[in-house]
This record gives sequence, C-alpha cells and structure tokens, in this order.
Amino acid sequence: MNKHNNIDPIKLTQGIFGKILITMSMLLLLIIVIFTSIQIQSEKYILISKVHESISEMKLNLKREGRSVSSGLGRITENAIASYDFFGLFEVIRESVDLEPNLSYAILVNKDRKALLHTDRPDLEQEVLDQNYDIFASQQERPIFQEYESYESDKTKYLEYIFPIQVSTSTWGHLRLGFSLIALERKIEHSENEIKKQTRHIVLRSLVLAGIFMILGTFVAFILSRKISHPISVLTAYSAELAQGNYSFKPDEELIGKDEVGRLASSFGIMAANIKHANDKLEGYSQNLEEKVKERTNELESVNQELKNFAYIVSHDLKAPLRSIGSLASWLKTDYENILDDAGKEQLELLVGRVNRMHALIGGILQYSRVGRVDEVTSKVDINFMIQEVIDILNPPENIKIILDSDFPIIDFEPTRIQQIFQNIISNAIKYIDKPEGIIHLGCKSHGEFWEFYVSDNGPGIDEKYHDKVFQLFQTLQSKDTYESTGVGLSIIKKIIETNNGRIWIESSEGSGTTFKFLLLKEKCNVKK
Amino acid sequence: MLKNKDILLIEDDSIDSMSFKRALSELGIKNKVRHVENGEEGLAYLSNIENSRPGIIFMDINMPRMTGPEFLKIALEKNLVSYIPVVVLTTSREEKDKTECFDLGVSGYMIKDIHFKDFVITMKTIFDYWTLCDFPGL
Repeated sequence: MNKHNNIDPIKLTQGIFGKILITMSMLLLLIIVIFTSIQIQSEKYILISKVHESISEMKLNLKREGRSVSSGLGRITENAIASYDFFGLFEVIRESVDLEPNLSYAILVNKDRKALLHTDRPDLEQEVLDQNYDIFASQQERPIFQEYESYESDKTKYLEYIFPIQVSTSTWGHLRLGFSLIALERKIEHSENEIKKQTRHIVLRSLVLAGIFMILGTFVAFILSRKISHPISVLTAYSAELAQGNYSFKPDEELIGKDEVGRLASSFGIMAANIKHANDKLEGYSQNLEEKVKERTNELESVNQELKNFAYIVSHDLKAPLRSIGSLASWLKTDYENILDDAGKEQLELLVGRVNRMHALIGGILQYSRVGRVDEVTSKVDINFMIQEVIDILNPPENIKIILDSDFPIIDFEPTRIQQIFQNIISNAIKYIDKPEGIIHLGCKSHGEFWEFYVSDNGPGIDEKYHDKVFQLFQTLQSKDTYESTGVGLSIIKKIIETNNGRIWIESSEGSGTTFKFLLLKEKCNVKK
Repeated sequence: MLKNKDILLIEDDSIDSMSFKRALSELGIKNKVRHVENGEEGLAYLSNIENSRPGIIFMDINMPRMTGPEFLKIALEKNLVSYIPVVVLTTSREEKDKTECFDLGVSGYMIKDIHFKDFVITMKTIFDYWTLCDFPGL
C-alpha cells in the first residue's frame, strides 16, 4: 500500500485517551481534596465541641461543688458573725480551704472592704482591698460566681464565689471563696493537645485514604478512558486505512463495541464497501474502455494497412495491365505498320496518349495517398537554399523572371514535402503564364505563430468561383489535352499544408494574375495529424 | 562477361516477359532466355543441376506463390546465386520495396517504364554494363 499522507502518531496529551484520563484524574483529585478537607473539618469540629461540652460540664460540677461548699460556709459565717465567734469561724474556713481540694483561698471582707481573713495573702489581713475587682465583689447583694484572673504575675484563673453575709437583714460583708481553675485549665490544655493529636491522626488517615482513593481512582479512570478511547483509536486507524485506499481493511469488531462508535465504524464499513464497489466498477469501465480502445486501434491499424495495400495494389496491379496495353499498342503500330491505314494509326496514337494519362493519374493518386500516410523525417530546411534548388530544377524559360521579395526563414519540415509545395506552385505559375514577359514574385513574412509565404504571377488569373475547385482532386481548369495536367498537384500540396496545421488559399481574379498564399507553423507542433 | 550464358527471367506477366524478349531481340542479344513465372519455379530451376547456371537474373517483385525478395532470400541462403547479378524489374516505387531489395544485395532496381522504347534503352544499358563487367572465372 502506497502511503500518500502519513498520519502522525497522536501525542498522549492530544489524544482522547490522554484528555479523558487527565480530566478524570483532575476531577478525582478535586473531589478527594474537597471531601478530605470537609471530613477533617467536621471531625475537628466534633472533637472541639466534645471538649467544650466536657469543659462546661466540669465548670458546672465545679460550680455545684463550690456552691454547696460556699453556702455551707456562708451560713456558718453568718452564724459566727452573729455570735461574734470570729476565731472559730476563721478556723472553720481555714480548715475548709485545707480540706477542699478545689478551694484555693477564702477571703472575708466587711462592708468597708477590710479583709478580716485572707488565706492566700495573710499580709493583706486588716487591709482595705481596693482593687477594681474587690470593689465589684463588695457591691454584690446576691451570691454569684465570678471568673477572674489573678492580679499576680502568674495570672492564675479563679472561679470565685462571692457570698454576701446577711446579718439582721443588712449586708455585713462578703465571703469570697476562690476555686482554682488550674486543674480545669490543665484538663483543657490536655484536651487541646489531645485534639491536636487526634487531628493530626485524622489528617494522616485522611491523606492515606485520599492517596489510596487517588490511586484506585486513577486506575479506574485509566481503564475507563481506555474503554472509551480505544474504540475511537481503532476507528481512527480504520479511517486512516480507508483514507489511504485500503478498503479491504476490517477493524476488530470486539475492540470497537456496539455503541455510537461501533455504529460509526459500521457506517465507515458500508461507505468503504460502496467506495470499493464504485472503484471496482470504475476500474471495470476503464479496463473495458482500454479494451475497446485497443480493439478500435487494431481495427484502425488493419484498415490503415488495407489502405496501404490498396495503394500498393493500385500501383502494381493497375499499372501492369496499363503498361501491357501501351506496349501492345506500340507493337501493333510497328509490327502492322504496312497493314494499318492512317486512321488506324491515329487511333493507336490516341490509345497510347490515354494510356499515358491514366498512368499519370494513377501516379497522382499514389502520391496523394502517400501524404499523411507515410511518415517522413522532419529536419531544418533553409527555404532560401531550397527555392534556389527548385528554380534550378524547373529551369524556367528566359522570358520568365523569378524575383525574391524577401529573405526566407529556416523551418522544421519534411524536406521533400516543402520542396513539393514550392515546386508545384512555381511550376504552375511558369506553366500557365500567358504574357511575353512573365514575372513571378516570391516572399515571406511573419504572421503570429505562422510564416506566411506567397507566390504571385502575372498570368491569366483564376476566377474567384474556381478558387476552391483548383484544390480538389482531379480538377483542372484547362482541357486535359491542352496542358499535361492530372489535377492532382494542388490537391497534394493542400493536403501537405493542412496535415501540418497550415492553410493555403488563392488571391486572384480573372486577368490580374494569381497569388498563392500559405501559412506554415514556425514551430512544428509535435501533435501528429 | 555474359558471353553465351543464359538469362533467367522470373516474371509472372506474360506481356512483360514478351516485351523483355522483344527488347532483347531488338537489341540483337542472342543469349537464351529461361523464363519462369514465380520465385518457387526460380528456386527449382537453380536447384536443378541439369540446368546451366545463368549469367544474370531479372526478377519481378510481386508474383504469385513466392515474391522476388522471398526467392532471393532463400537463394542466397542456399548459395544458388553467388556471382550472379540480380536485377529487379518492377512497377513499385515503394521505399519499402527498394530497401528490402537492396538489403538483399540486388545489383539493380529498374522501374518498368510505361513506354516500350524507354524500356529497350534501359535493357541496353544493363546488358552493355554486364557484358563489359568481368566475373570471377567459374
């Protein structure tokens, strides 16, 4: 198979397979990224909310515990103050602080914010506490929980239970119990670390999962792309084969499948079959045509051969008896000279004359049939030289002058044929001149792709109605006995000129001389007549 | 030199052979004319050792049964015409016939003239020439 136009192999990124694979993989990656991040976010959120829940629960527990401790201590404090048993009260409070694990400190201030007891800072006892927070605490008339940060450098967080001491319906002062949040904070910190750890774990797990999904997904995408693109590749290869004229190529139907691509492939198949059918038909026609042409050529050749044989037969078989008649007539005349009278001798003379004319006619027919039938070799002919030769051959009588009006070209032509043309026309001119002083002009000029030659004489001229007739075979204007003319010469040169794509015509009227003009191609065309 | 040698004429046309003989008698040539009518007869005549070898052969081209060139070809192969000039007498002016004959080494190619008188002149020239011509002695 001759590959006229090779189809380049498709690059992976340009082919359908590559495109599908890349698109699917990108989509997969996007989906996995989105899902993984959503999952991580949501798990983190769940963790955080769980932690918050436990923190608030712990706070609640702390508060509940604090409240029970505080309200117990508060009531003890109220009773102790009412009975002015400060010493016992302080003992109880200190004991409680020591005993309760979460209770860090206890402060007892009167309504002038003077600290009567400060378990954390005994140095501040008997001092007025005047920090903002202290002022805020002294203004409370109901027990509340308040979270605050210590003013100390450690910024420890405390949950303080502010309990106003009611003595005989008026607020005597406040008992402030500080529950340390350190444990809680530690727990929160621990939880946060736990969250971080868990998050890392989740992220790791998600990434591993994503990776596995990615690999699996890519594999699936690869298989899918292959499944989609492979029939198309097969189809592409198929169409390429068809494009290169390989109509008998059949793709593997199993590879193509039965979907749209399969339909397309079978349509291609039908198309290919149709094209093949048409091609075969065409080939058949052309073969048939070739055979026909061959047949016709053979017929033509045989007809041509027959024609040649015909001319040959004319040459030999017609001439032979004619010559015999001539010989017998002349023998009759010599052998029976004494027996024949004058009339008999004249008739024999006439018989010989007619035999001569018939001989000339047969010769003319042969010459005429040779033109265009017998190929002659073309060569460069110098017309100047050739005309001189013709004049020498014709040897015109002294009363006829031949004048060359111009220079003549060199042309491609069969030498004997071109000579025949000039010799015939010039000899006609010489033969028919009826003036005492005959003048014949010869000339040539360029005429487009032709040379135009002319031969003009001052002879009797030819009436326009005979201009065509003189070129017809066996047509003469004079009686055949007046001039030795067969009426073949002009027919022959017309045939020579026309078979060489030229043209000949006469410009003349009776009594004003005759001009023969003819055109010959400057460049002999190679197209055979 | 032809001397008294026979002349072999291969010619199918009786009037042509008549005019041949007439021309010889007008020219006063006394050599015997052996006339056969086609190439086959010509071959037979030359093959027969009882017949004397001719001094010159005249032959037509177009003849029934075997043409002149066909005859000459076989005669050459069989060595029947060595040292015998063969002159073609024909009406054909075909280039093909001329080249075929000269390729076979003919000594002359004469177109039969329409005029008997001209034919006599042609024959005189031929005989004058071949009578003068010296041959290897046989």
